[in-house]
Amino acid sequence: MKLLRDRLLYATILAVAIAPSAFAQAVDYGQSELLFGEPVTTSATGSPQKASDAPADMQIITADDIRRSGATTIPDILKFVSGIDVRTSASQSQTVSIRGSSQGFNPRLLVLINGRQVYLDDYGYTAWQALPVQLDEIRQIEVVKGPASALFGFNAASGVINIITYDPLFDSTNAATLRGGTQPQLGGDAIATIHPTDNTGLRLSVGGNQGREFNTNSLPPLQGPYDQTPYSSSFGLDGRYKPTPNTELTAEFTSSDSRNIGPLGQGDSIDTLGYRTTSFKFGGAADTNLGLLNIDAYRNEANDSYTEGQILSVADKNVIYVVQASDLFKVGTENTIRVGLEYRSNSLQGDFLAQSIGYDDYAGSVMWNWKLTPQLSLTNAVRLDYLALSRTGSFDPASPPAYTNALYDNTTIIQPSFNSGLVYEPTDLDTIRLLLARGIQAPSLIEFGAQYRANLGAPLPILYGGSPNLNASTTNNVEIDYDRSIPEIESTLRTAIYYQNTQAILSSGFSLPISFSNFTLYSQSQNIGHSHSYGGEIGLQGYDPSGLRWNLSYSLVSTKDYLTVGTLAPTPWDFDHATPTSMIDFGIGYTWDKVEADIQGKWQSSYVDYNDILLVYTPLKISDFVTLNARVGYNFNEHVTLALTGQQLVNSSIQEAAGIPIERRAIASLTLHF
Amino acid sequence: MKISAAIIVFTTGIALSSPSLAAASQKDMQIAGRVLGFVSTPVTGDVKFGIVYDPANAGSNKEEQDLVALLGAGLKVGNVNFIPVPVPIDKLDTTASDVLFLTGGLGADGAKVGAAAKAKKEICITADIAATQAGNCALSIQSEPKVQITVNKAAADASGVSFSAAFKMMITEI
Repeated sequence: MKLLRDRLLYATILAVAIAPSAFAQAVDYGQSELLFGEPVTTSATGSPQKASDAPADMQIITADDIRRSGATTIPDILKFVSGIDVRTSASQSQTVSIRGSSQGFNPRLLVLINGRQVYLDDYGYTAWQALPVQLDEIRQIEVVKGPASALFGFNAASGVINIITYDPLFDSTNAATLRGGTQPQLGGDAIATIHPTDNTGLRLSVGGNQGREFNTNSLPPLQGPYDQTPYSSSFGLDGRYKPTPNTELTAEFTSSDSRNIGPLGQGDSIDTLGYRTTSFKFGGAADTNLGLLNIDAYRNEANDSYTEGQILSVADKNVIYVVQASDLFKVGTENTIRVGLEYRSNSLQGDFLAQSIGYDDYAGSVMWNWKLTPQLSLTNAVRLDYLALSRTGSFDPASPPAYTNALYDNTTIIQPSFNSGLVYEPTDLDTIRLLLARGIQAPSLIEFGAQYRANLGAPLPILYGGSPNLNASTTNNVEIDYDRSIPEIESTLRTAIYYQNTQAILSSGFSLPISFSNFTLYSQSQNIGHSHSYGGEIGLQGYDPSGLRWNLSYSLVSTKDYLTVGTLAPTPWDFDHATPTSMIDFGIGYTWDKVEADIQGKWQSSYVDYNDILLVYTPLKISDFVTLNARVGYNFNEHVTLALTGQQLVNSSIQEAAGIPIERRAIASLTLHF
Repeated sequence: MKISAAIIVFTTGIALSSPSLAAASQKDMQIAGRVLGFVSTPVTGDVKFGIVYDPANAGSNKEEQDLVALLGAGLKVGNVNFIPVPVPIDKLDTTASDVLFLTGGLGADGAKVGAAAKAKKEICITADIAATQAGNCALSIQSEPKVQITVNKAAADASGVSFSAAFKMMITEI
């Protein structure tokens, strides 16, 4: 299978390299946004669309929003988006959830950079601190609320975050930022774009941060010592070449290196987490008589390490190869069709496994957008994934005897997903969306294949086992949205009401009660039941030509669990109480000549999180809290900006999630644009 | 097709608040300039912006005069610099231009512009969506309250004008 995978990948790269006339023109986000006066996106259907036309509840965070937030991490930007729950467990450990069912290391949110997955498949989560992207090179962050598996495949179960960077072919992004602050923090980034020829663009980016960890005195000393010097650094190279006006080739390389403390899953104790990632991506696109042809091939490698004081030290290596091809074309004037094929190879080797676990995934998808009238469009997208599991290595004697490599190698998962959306614009001011979707969350590689006998200080060894008998978790979503522009106050009202049910919720053995088997304590990955959620969001956002901007939103989510674990022994699974029911996000800002000032705040209702203290999952009530960030920037001229940001200003420290209290911070930054 | 027709009647009936005729604004000109960057062979540099009007039609005449004043000696938008060239409708064949802009309210006379655009192989732009619906002008623009672009595919094809595939996904084709 490896040989087949490698041949397929290299053949794709070769095809991209030697046949430029066969591939196409990408979306010029900058010119399109200038033309339509709003961001454009491909994250709803795979077809370029104005954000207001997308058949999805989508929020786009622009580069201006990012700058004015003063944030130094992407979760700190997302924190103030309606319906998004960000849990900060330590200075560099953050988990992002959309629309409830929040959990540490959230596996239900797919995160991508320019369509390349940065979600890690070993445990199923996103290590935000290890993302190889600088905030100054981001054009927009596209947030899709609700399942989007029909376009993106596995793990777009509760939503998608697609980070879009500037295009070096069209955008000349040249900037350098130096940051310093309390705790004491030091960081910065530099981005340079060059155009060796008129049809070639190359962007280099480099950046990093380091600082002192927040106070760890509240953590159990037996599970320490806790690393006190989190850091992250990354490098990126993005090249685009247009051999003809209708064709474009891309090549991208990234790498990142980071270390911080944080939990390794829902309810887990605080560990030291280290990440080294690299990626290569090649692509081509061509505007042809057959439509807009696209092909992308990439390889991600993540070398992760997890250390829990003197008790635990493990590492793994996760490699994925992905080849994606699509054709996007119009039939007549009313129908847009996208046909896609995808091959994905995923493998994991590491200390939590006997040897290796992996799978190959083959997927086909079709999207059909039917513009019935200029005011009414119907989009239907379906995708079918076929996952074939494979495993090598021995089994622990305490494992179920039925588990063999042959069983693993014969295990397949076949899952359909779909997205349907009816978008009706009865007037130029009103948009109504009816949405129906089914998203898929694949079991993580650890959930499939863990085989780890640990001596964590307990009287007997503990075996954490994976299982080949897991079902993919599915999320169904029904939703009605209504948006209205209110020109009288330069504002937009956005509302959404939804119902979601999630079947076959997945948990690794690390987050489940321990049983006794063959003189060994044993815990195995399982599907642990289902949950229902309903909720809604209402928000108003405005920009006044005078320079005033504001936003106010309220989001509600209520979850009911029907879990099959946790009745006899405590587990960290309790979506009923682990989801904050209410959140209010608010912000106000003003630009006056060379000064821009912004305040963003959030109130979040109380919820219950979990700590793992010596293998006992201990509930921790997180009281409702208000957090407030503020930034003042001064533009000396078009090249130099000085900014001062205060984060978490209300209290000197607050407990936002299990982990350690989050401290107030102040950050000064100097940015040069050239 | 019958279903589509029924839905069009229903939805457009509700959408009566959309203006059917509007004079071109500066924002319309900016959109017109940027649209030219999405033509398969992008138009750049100095562009003779032929403002087609009917001297006998007060509304058309006024729009032409407003546009000439707006563009002045030239208006730079994106990669183009619009140089205004007034084109009385009865002198379409003899007035040189790179782009035709059709003023509103010409009604049946608009067909002459469609024929001229076809003969000259030039793109025709208008703020009068009725002209595009009638096939007299390839592209109509609306800038308020949100940007809407409508392309009459038959008219565009007849004028030898084509757009990038990505652009066509973001606009309304009829």
